[in-house]
Amino acid sequence: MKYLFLITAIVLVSASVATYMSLPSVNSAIPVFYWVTDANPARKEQINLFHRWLIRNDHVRKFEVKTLSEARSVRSKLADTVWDDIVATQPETAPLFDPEGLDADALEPKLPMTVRAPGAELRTDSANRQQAKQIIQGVSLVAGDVLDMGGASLPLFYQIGMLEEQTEPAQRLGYGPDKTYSAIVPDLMVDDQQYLFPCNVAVALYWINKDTFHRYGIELPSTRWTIEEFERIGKAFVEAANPEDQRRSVFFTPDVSIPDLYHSMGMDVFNETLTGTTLDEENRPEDFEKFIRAHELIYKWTYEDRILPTAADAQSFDTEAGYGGAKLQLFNRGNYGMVRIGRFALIQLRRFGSMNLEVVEPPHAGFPVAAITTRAAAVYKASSNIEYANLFQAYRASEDYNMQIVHDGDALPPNPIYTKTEEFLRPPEYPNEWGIHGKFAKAAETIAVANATSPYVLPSRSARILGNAKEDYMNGRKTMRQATREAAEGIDNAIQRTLREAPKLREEYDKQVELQKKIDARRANGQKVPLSWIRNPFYRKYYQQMGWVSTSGEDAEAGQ
Amino acid sequence: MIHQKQNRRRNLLIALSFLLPNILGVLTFVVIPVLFAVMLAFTNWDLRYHNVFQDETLKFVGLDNFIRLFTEENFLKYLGNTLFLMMGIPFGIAGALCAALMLSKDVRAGGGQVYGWLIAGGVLVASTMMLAAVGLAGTAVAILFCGLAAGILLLGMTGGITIYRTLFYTPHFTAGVATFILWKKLYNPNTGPINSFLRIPLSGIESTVTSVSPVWMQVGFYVGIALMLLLMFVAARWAWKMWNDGDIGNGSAVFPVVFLSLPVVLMQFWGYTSGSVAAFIALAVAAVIVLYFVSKGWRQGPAFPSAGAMNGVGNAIVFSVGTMVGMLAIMGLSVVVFNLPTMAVDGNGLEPPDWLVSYHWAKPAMMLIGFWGAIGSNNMLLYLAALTNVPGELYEAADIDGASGFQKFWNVTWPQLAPTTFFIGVMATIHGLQGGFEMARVLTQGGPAGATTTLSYFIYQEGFETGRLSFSAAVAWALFILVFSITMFNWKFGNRYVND
Repeated sequence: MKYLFLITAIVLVSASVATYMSLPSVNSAIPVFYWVTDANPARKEQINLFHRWLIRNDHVRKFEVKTLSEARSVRSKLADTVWDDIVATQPETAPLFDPEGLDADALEPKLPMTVRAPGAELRTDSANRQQAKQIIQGVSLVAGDVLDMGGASLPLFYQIGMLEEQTEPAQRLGYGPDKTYSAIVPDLMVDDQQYLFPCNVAVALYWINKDTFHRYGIELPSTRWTIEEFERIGKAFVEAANPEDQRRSVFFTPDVSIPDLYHSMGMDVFNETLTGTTLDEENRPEDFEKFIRAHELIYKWTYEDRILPTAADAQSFDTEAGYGGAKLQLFNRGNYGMVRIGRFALIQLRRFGSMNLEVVEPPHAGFPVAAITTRAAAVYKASSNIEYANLFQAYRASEDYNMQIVHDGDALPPNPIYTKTEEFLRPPEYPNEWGIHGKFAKAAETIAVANATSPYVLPSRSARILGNAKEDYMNGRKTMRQATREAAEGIDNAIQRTLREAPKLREEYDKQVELQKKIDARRANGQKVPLSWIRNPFYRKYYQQMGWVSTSGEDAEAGQ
Repeated sequence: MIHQKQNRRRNLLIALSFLLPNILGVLTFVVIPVLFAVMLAFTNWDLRYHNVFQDETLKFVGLDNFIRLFTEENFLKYLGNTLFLMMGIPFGIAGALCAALMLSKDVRAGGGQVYGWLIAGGVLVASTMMLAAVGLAGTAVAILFCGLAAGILLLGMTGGITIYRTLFYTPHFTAGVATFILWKKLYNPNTGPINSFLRIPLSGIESTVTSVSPVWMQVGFYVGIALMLLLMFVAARWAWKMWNDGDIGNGSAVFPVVFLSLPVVLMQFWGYTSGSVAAFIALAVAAVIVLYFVSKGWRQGPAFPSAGAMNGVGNAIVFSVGTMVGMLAIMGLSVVVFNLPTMAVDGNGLEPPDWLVSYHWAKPAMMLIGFWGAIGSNNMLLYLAALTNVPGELYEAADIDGASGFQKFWNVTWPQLAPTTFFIGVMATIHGLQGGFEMARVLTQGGPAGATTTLSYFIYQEGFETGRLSFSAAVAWALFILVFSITMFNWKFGNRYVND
């Protein structure tokens, strides 16, 4: 028995050593670092382009090869995932990195040669994308080197302190906030320090399947339209599309964004300084009513006008597949006349063939607005490859990466200058899309607003509170007025709890609260407010558009 | 002597080296984390401010995290959700027992019957396909369900009880997530087979309700309430008889009084019934029933006094809670009958539930899944094993005494299964309090509006979505204390009942 035990122990130890030895980072002559991202096939091409970009920009590791045995050694030390990239930039190395085996006859006459390999090899890690996993791995010092995340996740990761600040390297390597859309910058920064740079940027507009509209003889909406037009066209659409006395299977659109709706009415859930909620019946009655009205409109469109599917209708359609779930397939089939989604919908829409497409802005209630979001990447603070991780951020501001996004039909490229190119505006293979791409780029520069997140309440917490309020109302459990009051109380409690748990935030909070009082007083008197006082990205845009921003330097100083 | 000592030491070392991996595993993954979690619950550890990247020191906060449990409305709400879902446990146990009783009989049939069933099954499948082909999918689904039941029956007749035992045990060995996704499809409000099936009887009920006078529905409501009170009376009489025979003590007798009165008390506060004449009458009748039996007991005293005040408490609780659930079900159905005319003409008429997307139906939907899982679980196997251990001579004696099938079950089988039922009850309670995470995460993400967020899911949310590890640990320990208390209660009283 004890010998069996001993043998088992030896086998297990040997297997562990073998597993360790097979790790890419142990075998490779160049550092290997990991990008925690989704399992999208496009990532492979993006990584290949990165390796080539490293070589072209001289971030290389050189290997002198004089003999065939040295050639074999170099070949074995470099992972086959970088061979193509080396050959692409150095065609003379083709015999060395022949996938069939080293081609000695072809290689020998070319020796000696210098092989310029990328300075580091990037690999994807799609198994650890879940936020909870990233956090646990991060605080345990074993997270991936580059972490994909949405802008809404930044506050939590920032508070944990596991992200490497990017302000200095971004300036040095050219991927600062000036290299992307100004509307998305709030999602990349905390306290004027940069932590993220986008992988792509999405502005959610409504895609229209023109064939569906023509089938039912319904007029197409104009690019900019009001909620009244939305309701009128929507009602005509669903009435024409659904036979009487049958369960509705065709809807105008699967959803309308409630934040888009209340933003277009001129309010956000958080106040100007992000220190509290605007759902204050006593002090901000107008905002309180606007929030209620936005929800009541959604209720009306869902249960009375039946323009939008109910939760039950939506679940009946749900297949939980692909980018945007089933809604793009249903959009293609004609079950939805429009879908609200970013340009990345093209990844799937192009598979359906040459659709007859159009794009319009979200319907507005006076102030046209569209949500802008990003899938961005951060650098892990405890990474042993920070410099290469920074280079990967810089690469994403480069032409190589941006044009890959342009060609792939992904969301908007991180760097807006590439939206001016002919390939972006009029892709030769897709003439049906001409005129569409420009609208996304224009929306990103004109009406786009990033989601406001308060440093005093986690976005996941406030989203849950607001989501519960909506569900309570939509399920008929509470009136919207009652649900709004409870949501306001919930957010206020969450803020106070954060301040109790993190007293270091108190000083800045009190300062911002004082500033908020000044803003409120000025607005009550119809006076203008210095832009520097406002932290909420929505109100920054709104105040500017409404002409409520004062340019006086004294004003700004008065707030400090 | 020295040699023997050395030998013993050597053997000890060898034994320890064998055990070391396990000891290390238990220490690393169980003992140390548990002790760590105890410590955690009394600190202010928040992953956002206390980790390797931050220099803030951890503080001892005493019972703050535990006090916060009761000031945070979410904790109580999610505790309520957990307890609500646990209401399905008695049904699950009863289902497992029924399944075990059925699966302990052989059902193999002769060849003639099998051929008959085969032909009937073939006709059924063909009809279903034809109906589906002509667009009557709802009817086809209904017939398919019947066909499925017939098919299973046929399988049992040909393959014997092993087939059923395998089929019934399926929920236990299929992967949870895959099963839940399947349930999600079954619950699909518009296209799911459950609602397609329900639409047929609902449509029949709707046409019946709209064609008769609403007065009949009101009569139905009052008949329902009368039935509920009749059930209460029968149960109260039975409880009194148990007390009179000394099967339950004075303390245990309090449970039937409380639990049997509860539905009538609830009727006074429930939105659908409060303030109604029926609620008032029910309260008066219930008061008369309670007063009658209490005063009768007070005047006469028990014929055979019980050995102790808490004697038979387990029996009293199981009996009275079961009756209470029955009373509540009758009351609920009566209210539904009363409201049927309004429901039939409102909106789209009588529609099946929206299940997982409706606040009111999401929890019952999850309970049903739990019930389904509980029937074909280890509980069923435990009951099967226990049934084989019931001495045959007890049944023979009962037969000689002329006992009916139910009497044999109640007086022979049920008491013999008591230790197994006790064990299953304890384990089901523990699992019930700890459960719900996987189901909520896959099916509803805790929604709608937190309706299906259980304590285990709340622990995950607090710990990993917001980083409040200390608070999360406090919730986990509160849950442990609850589990421990209930188990101790079961042990103290249930065990006594088992040994009676």
